[in-house]
Amino acid sequence: MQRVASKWFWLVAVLLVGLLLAGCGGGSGKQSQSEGQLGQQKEQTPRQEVAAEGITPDAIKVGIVPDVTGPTGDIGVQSQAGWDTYFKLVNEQGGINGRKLELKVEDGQYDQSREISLFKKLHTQDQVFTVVDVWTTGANQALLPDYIKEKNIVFPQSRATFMFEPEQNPYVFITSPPYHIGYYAQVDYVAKEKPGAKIGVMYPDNTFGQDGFKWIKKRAGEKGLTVVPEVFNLSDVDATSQLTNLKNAGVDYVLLVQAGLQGAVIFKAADQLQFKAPFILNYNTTEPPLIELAGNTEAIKNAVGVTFYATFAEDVPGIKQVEEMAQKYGVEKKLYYSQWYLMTWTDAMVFTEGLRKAGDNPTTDTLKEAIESLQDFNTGGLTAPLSYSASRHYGSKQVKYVKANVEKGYFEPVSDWYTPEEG
Amino acid sequence: MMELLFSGVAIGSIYSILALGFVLIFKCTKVFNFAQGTLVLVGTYLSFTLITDAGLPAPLALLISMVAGFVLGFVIERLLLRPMIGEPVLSVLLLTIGLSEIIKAVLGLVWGAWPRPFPPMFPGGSINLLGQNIPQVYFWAIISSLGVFVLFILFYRQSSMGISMRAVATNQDYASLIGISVSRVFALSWGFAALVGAVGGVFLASMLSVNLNLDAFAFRAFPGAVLGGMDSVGGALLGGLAIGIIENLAGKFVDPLLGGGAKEVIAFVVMLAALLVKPYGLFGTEEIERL
Amino acid sequence: MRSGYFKVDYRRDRELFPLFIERLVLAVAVVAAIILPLITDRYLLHLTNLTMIAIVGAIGLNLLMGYTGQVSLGHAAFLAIGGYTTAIVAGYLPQLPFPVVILIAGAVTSVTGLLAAVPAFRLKGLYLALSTLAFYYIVMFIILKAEPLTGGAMGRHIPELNFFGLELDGEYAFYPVGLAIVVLGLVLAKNLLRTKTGRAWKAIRDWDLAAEAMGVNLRMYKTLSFTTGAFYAGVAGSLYAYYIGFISPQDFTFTVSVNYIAMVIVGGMGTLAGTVAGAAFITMLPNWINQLAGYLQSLWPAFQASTAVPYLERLFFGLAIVLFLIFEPEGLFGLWKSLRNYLVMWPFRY
Repeated sequence: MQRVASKWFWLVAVLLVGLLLAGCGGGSGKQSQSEGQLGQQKEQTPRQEVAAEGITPDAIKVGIVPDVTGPTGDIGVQSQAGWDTYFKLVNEQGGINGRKLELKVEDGQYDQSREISLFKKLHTQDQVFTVVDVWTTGANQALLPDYIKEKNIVFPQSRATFMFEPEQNPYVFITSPPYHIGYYAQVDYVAKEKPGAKIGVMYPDNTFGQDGFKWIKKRAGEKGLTVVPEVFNLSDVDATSQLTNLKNAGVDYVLLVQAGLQGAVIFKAADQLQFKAPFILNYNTTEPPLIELAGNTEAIKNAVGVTFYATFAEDVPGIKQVEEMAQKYGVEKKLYYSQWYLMTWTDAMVFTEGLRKAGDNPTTDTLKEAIESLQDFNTGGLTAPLSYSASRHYGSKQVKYVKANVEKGYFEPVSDWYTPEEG
Repeated sequence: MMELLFSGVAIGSIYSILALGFVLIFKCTKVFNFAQGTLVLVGTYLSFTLITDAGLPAPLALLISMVAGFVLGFVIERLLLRPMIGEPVLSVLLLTIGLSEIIKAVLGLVWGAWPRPFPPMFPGGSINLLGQNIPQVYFWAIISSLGVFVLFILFYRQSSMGISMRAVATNQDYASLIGISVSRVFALSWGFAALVGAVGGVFLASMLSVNLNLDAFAFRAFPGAVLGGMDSVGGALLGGLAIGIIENLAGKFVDPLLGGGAKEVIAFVVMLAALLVKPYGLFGTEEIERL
Repeated sequence: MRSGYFKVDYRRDRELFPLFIERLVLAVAVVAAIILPLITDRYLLHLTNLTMIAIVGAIGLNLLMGYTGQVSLGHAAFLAIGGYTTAIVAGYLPQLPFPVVILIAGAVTSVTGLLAAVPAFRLKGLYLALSTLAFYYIVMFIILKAEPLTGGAMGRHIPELNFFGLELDGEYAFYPVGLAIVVLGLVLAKNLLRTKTGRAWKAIRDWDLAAEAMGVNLRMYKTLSFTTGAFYAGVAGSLYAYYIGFISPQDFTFTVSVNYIAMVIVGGMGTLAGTVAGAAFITMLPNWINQLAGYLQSLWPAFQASTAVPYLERLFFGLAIVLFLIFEPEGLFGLWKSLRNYLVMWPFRY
């Protein structure tokens, strides 16, 4: 035993020393960086317009914390590509008032405590201007106090409604409506088609799902619909028991509050059970890969979905630009053919427009004011025109209804922009 | 009700195949393999690539990945488990946790996190059986899992290799005294487990999609293996089926009481109960330690 | 002339730090702990704080796994119970000073440790490990369902550290608190291990039947080990909740249990100094890999750092577990021991 240990002692030691060196090397690099920053702060001469952290004479450093390799990594890389490509486009057109945008990506891996650490790293070690995107609802919730402390402008991936109260969270913005508007639209569709109907709701037992169920229940109460809840988790393989319960309850429609591709599992089980009630899909599920995965099921053909952004079936200037730029910068179709890409793409549009208007020495406070002053901002049809104010931090209240086109493999609109009125 | 039973049996038959992977290794080597889930992933990704990129017909691809899985299991045993012989059982358990991290990391580096639809191996639509519509995937999952179990039971009963494996399972010292190569039995067990994993993975991926989180389902097969008895092949079959059916029944009867989600935890409640009442499962061999 | 370092009498055995070199390392550590907040930036201090939380939790797991030989795959459940107790107690009684809240969290968690110990009366080894796995899933399910108390999946906010009306917030304020608790935890554990209890635990680990034959009450000492381990985990969970300020079930995934197991293995099962090193190693690993990848990318531009980093991290993580188990079962502490013996004996080899 002792012999083996001594033989391998050096091997393991070398491995460890290598790791430590890598750590120290990075550490010392960071040291000099922060010294440099201190020096800059001490000078603070009006010589250069270095107003805020992360802004140098020729660059603006911006961080994002998407999920690249975690359980939602498939859509995480799409959202990352949206920021990345739009920043490339802006830089090629001369940047923001002469400064280039630099994107610093850190993979949060759908892990709340890791995301919080990375947020702190981006601010202290990479000295970014702001972290514009943090992935999970949980991390966003935990970071709300830090957003205020750091004056950090963020367009969180999660659209959970409670974050968009400008008095409490002055630095949080989005381009789409918050989630509750989408849930209202789901309920409104049923209320219009069949007043007094009985609706089933299939939601996962997590932050996102419970939030969605809460809003649907509220809206259904207002519209006089009966609600039958059923939990269907992100890790469930089979929806037979849930659908049987809904069938026995005699529901007329099933509203989904799901994320990613779980809808496909439900549709397959529905076909097996010859479950006839149509499905109404929430914003996060109306994604082209769902059609591919659901195959030729009746359920997907009859489903109606809600979307916050334009679909790729539409012939609007915004979609055209997205497709052209994707081709130009070599973005693969599986990356840009997605709502998540359109989401961060429009986030980036608003963010950069705000930066332009915030003047030569932007700070996150002037940026905040600049975004709040945007009125009827045209996204080329990717969303309805966006308007912000000091009391409203989401750009639009409009949604579209869509249906799946199984042959072409995308969702296409069946309505124009629709505004669910607040109850 | 009948739908619930049928889909429970179908999901359960996949759990049984996954549980069989645990049992095959535990039976002979007394190692509880936490990396079984990632061995399932290896087989799934291999057959996926062989079908979509190399354009091989599905059965051939499955066959090749089964063989590749066997080789991988063999190599893992030689490289990593061999040095651990004689170490405490728990160290070996922890080693397999490390192993699963390594395999998953390598798969991620090669294939990335992207979930992909598994190319259809079975005709779409359903089959009418006993007045029930059963999707083709379910039907074939049940048939192949039964086939796999029949093969393994015959193998352990009839072939001389199988009999020597059982001898090792009963008593390693005596087995090696009568000239059975214990090390070969160990390596074979790992090979078989990885091979079986490939079969289970292909069905799992056909129902869901090919993604790096499929190994979580192997976790839900633990209770099946424990319930049936960690060293009983037939026990794995019954345990897996039972868990599949129990999950569905819990979804029907317990979910409305608790507000959902009972499916995820019921298997572990059953496992804890089984451990407390009958630690060695329904058909497992009791371990008796003598001073 | 001596040929190595041996403990030849009881006085030697009782000494906490018998060797000059150990006292030297200790002195360096004390100095480092004092000047650390002065020389690091906020991010490194943040990682240090997380490390300190991990150390407290890992001591608990090491008492259970390294000293008593009972593997727990459900350590994350204990952390969760500690965290949620803190959220609930501090949420309803915000004027309570935080040391009291932390103690309550530890106490509540040790009571649940009692429950987890029940299967240990009948089961051991692998089967016990599986029962802790089931325990983990059941606890997390209950937390998810006890929505009025825990906030369910929506999680819960925790008020800031309250010390008799003084609110402590941020990395710099947390550091002394965490440090004090780590030191306290280490001293308590070290001394506990020198008592009858500690010796009984080691006897159970080495051979439970022999220990029983010598008159060690297996039930009592196993239960004691579970409750003590759970107490430490509860304190760690409480610190985590205070420090992050918001917890939800996502903070206590099964991966957290695996990370703690890795800390104990990499540090060295059955050593406290190793636990500190292991906790630091596993907590800092993502940062190191990140920097390594940045360096690789500057050398070799085709290397896709952003997509490869997490997998490289898991790869190193798995390799660390496997290599240490095969080649150095005593972990980082084993490496240190070889080095220490080499230095003590220098210039002779033995």
